[in-house]
Amino acid sequence: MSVENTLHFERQEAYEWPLAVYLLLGGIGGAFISLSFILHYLFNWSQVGNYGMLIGMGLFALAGLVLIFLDLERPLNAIYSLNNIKTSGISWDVVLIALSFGGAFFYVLPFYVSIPALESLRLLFGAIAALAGFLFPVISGGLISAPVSVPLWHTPLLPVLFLINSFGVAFSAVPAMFGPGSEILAFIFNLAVFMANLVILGGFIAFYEHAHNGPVEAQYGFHEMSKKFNFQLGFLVVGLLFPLVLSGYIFFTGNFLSWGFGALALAQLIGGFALRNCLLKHGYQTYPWPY
Amino acid sequence: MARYGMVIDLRTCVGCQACSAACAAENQTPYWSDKWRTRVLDIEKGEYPNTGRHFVPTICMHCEEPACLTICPSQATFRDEKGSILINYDTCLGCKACMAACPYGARYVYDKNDVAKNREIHGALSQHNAVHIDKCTFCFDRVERGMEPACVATCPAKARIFGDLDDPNSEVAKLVASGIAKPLRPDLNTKPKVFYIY
Repeated sequence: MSVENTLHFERQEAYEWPLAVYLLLGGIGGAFISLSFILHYLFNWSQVGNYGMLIGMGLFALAGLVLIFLDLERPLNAIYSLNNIKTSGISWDVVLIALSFGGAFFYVLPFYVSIPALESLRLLFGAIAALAGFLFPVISGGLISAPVSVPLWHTPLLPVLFLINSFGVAFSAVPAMFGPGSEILAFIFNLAVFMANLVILGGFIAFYEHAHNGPVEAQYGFHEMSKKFNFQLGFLVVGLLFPLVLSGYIFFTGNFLSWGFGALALAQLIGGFALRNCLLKHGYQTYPWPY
Repeated sequence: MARYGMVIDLRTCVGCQACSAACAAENQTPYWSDKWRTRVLDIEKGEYPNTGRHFVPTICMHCEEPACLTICPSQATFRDEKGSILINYDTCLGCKACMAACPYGARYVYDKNDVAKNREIHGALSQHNAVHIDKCTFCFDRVERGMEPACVATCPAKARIFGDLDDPNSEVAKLVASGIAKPLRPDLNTKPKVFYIY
């Protein structure tokens, strides 16, 4: 009998692919806004500050629409989603999206309209947007990882993995979109992101495989997930191996291919979706029946 | 104020599913979609000749530290004054976070097909007129009228015992205090108010 058919492991039915899309788009949106603010502030790259923020806002808007119309059973009741900001991860997600989106809006506005009163507050709005954008993948990862019911998700490594992956896409996408001047910086960041990805994956494996009092339920989900073609091709090959090989090529040859960063961003985008979707799919609830 | 809880005696449960049927009739749960507020699992264990068959009734544990309550963004999941965990159907978003958070699998989506089918069956008496996440309520409306929950009242084997955990003279309080009735996975720190004898 397969484990799926026993009573102790039941695949969770709450979260499906729309939530994976929401986590991905929201995470990347937050990373875009954070990165755009930092690059604009530090290097005065106004094009990045302007369009990067707009892209981040668009991704946030899209993420919100996906959540409301594809995931929620009652989309109109989304108006009640701020009723529990004390303890609910979803409420916090909504707060962070609103802060980041609103802050980015007022940060970008002076690019188009001259509002003297806004100028003095612009840095503050940008900082709020960047901080909220940075926190979004962390908190949305926390939403998934906080409950004890699904052992595969119940690890503090999950929010960090979402954060790293989101910034990986943004780091690659920014130079791909905004052209010369940022390649070397982006490349260094990319390498750092890969290393962080590998360290966290190593942490996952160590946690699932070697932890004392090992969480066998989590191990089961992890094994099932790692056997799946979607995970192997989508995350490991396209999302991790390909960017690593491409980065290695760029590093050793010094040849910044014209399509290089675009390919890196796209690969990590696909990998990011595969990661989130596979994690959600292989979340097994382990009911504690005594027999 | 009473603090209601339940003890389920797995030694006497015969797996007749009368509790599931009574609950479905009382609370209009969508049995046509195989969704239940309470169901009895039929577990076969072991290899011949050392085999065993066990019946395990499952239900919302009405935890004192419920994961579903803290994660609910709209506070649609709330605790009434008697400690039961209930759902406000009007403000439920249907985000399903509570379903993912519940370690006991007590919740399900009462989806639009279920609402339509229920309306078809019960007409104006339908209790579920909008999509929401559904679960056991300890039959609070019956309890308010001095009756037992439907599953308890109908159990032919008296495998379910319902009562006030704060009343030292109640049977549930005695069984819990004696240690015979135990919570499932106390290590999860949800402090369930449904206890099992096995």
